[in-house]
Amino acid sequence: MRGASAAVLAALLAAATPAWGLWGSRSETIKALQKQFGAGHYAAVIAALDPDGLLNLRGDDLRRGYNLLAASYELTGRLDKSLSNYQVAVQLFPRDRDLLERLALLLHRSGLEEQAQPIYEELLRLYPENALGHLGLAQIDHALGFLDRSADHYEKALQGFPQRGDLWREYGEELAEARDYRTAELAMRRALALDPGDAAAGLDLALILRAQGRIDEALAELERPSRAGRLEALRARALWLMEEGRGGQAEAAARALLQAAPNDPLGLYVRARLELKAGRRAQAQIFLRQAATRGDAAPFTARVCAALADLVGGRR
Amino acid sequence: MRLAGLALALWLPVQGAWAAPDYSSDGLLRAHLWRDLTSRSQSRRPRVGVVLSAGSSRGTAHVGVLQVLDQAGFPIDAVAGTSMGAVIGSMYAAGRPVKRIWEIMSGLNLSMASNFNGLRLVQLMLADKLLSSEQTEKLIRGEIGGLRFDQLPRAFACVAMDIYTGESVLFREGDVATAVRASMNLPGVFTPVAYRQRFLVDGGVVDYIPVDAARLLGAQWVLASITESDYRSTRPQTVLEMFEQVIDIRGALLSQEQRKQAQFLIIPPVGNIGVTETARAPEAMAKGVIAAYKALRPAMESLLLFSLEPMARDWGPAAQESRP
Repeated sequence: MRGASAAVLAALLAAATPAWGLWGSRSETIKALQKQFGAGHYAAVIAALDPDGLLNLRGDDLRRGYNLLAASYELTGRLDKSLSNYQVAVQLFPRDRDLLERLALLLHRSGLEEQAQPIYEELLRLYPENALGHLGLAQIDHALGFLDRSADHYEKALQGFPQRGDLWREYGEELAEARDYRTAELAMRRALALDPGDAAAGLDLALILRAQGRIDEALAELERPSRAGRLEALRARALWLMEEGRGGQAEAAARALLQAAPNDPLGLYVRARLELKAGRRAQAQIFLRQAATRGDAAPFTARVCAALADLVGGRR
Repeated sequence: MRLAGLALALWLPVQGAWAAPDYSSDGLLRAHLWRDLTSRSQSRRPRVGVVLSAGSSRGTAHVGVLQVLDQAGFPIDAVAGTSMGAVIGSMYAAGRPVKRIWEIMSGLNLSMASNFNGLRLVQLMLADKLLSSEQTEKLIRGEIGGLRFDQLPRAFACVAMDIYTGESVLFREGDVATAVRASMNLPGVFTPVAYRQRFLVDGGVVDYIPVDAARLLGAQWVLASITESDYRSTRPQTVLEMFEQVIDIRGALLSQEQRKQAQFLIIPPVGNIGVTETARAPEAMAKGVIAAYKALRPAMESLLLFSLEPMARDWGPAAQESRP
């Protein structure tokens, strides 16, 4: 787990202390442990529960005990212990929504998608509208290439999290990949309405507009990040202007890009293409050869430029 | 705990993310060249061929591969297939939506391709009475009607073998359904298909990955989807499995050379699915999707690099700037 995420998680769980009341806790032991957990004394919770403390608990208290123990391990970065406790707990309490959610998330975050998937599926079998289950499957299906299925799950997940701009962006990215650009645009505009500062959503929207051939709108979306010096926006701007045959503007954009990032392979490629268009093959070749040395930064661009340099030089 | 759990869910990023939009030099250039390539007419870019190998139930993985290629907008001009590759390839070449082919293959069973039943199996074993693969022909005809090869929207070829001469027989003309039936006609189990004085059986014996057939259709850049068996770890138990094992071994030996002739290979990990395990078709198709999706960017880059020369012809001063 990343340090920052752990800190956020600890803060959130501590802040959520009142939520323990929702458990309807009856045992004094559990109440005391919940208090310790809320205060961030995870080592104390672990010491109290693992392994003997759990043996003294029964029924709902046992379920809460496993939850506390697994969460404490999770927050102290011992994911293997956390995972094994969640797994045992899910065996004992197979219909417990919290446990299923936490186990699936932990597996998913650990990159164990194949193991997370059946847990999410079980969660949805028991609770068909569970937004977290749909979100998990949406992300897994997207990662594996099942774009149709992923879109269906995103739609259901968003019913549960309609105010989450980042999820609308994810959904828009997924739709764009499935080349459903019109719906992708709607999702991305929703993401930006919820979070106007989401720079990634702004760039995504530009790409989606470009894919629909709405070049001027796409370029307009790039203006703000370009002014902020974001290389992604500068690159896209130079390339798209060149594609459109706006030579002068493309050259200025490529120069701006190369000023911000000298030897940027895409900037060099754009300059080379503009030189080629103007019939200055020797100059084009210089840019291409230069870009071809940037295999470390951009292997595909370097290969394209090397091959193009050979073509321009008559070697192929 | 409910709130705490929810907080966890909402705040922690999930690792192992999907293919997020790529704004790197490589990502933008790939998208730019892809727009250029896919907006071109066939005469101004290389002809793209897809080859679907033999593989019986394993071969259903091709449907998943086609789904991913289709979704990404690969400009597929020609399709060549053997056995199950021919069944799936013929429907795709005829313009049947991948979704429909997926649906058909989801319900795959032995009687869809033959007149297989318990009684006929006993007849086969006790009285050497071969089964008929007529159902395969009916299945194809039901989907694409009586189309001939020259009527297909995409060029298509499939391969069978003449059981009397051992020759590979390449179908590029005539009735598609008959040809596909011949291509998927397991020797020793199904009666050979009589066609123009030849007696034809499954093409997997002689041309497991028909890259050569795709070349004859004019394909310059060829992507092959391969669904070979892990025959070294397979222990066939039935007559049918024995026959299939022989075809698989022969096919694997032959395919070494054919693999080298393709520009790009996608190999879904379906080698442990047996010939009669038709119930595992959905699993095979899913594995096809996963393998193809993983290989998508490299496949696109391979095609783009291959296409650079014809594309660059339009980038000079005399040519009109391409406008994807």
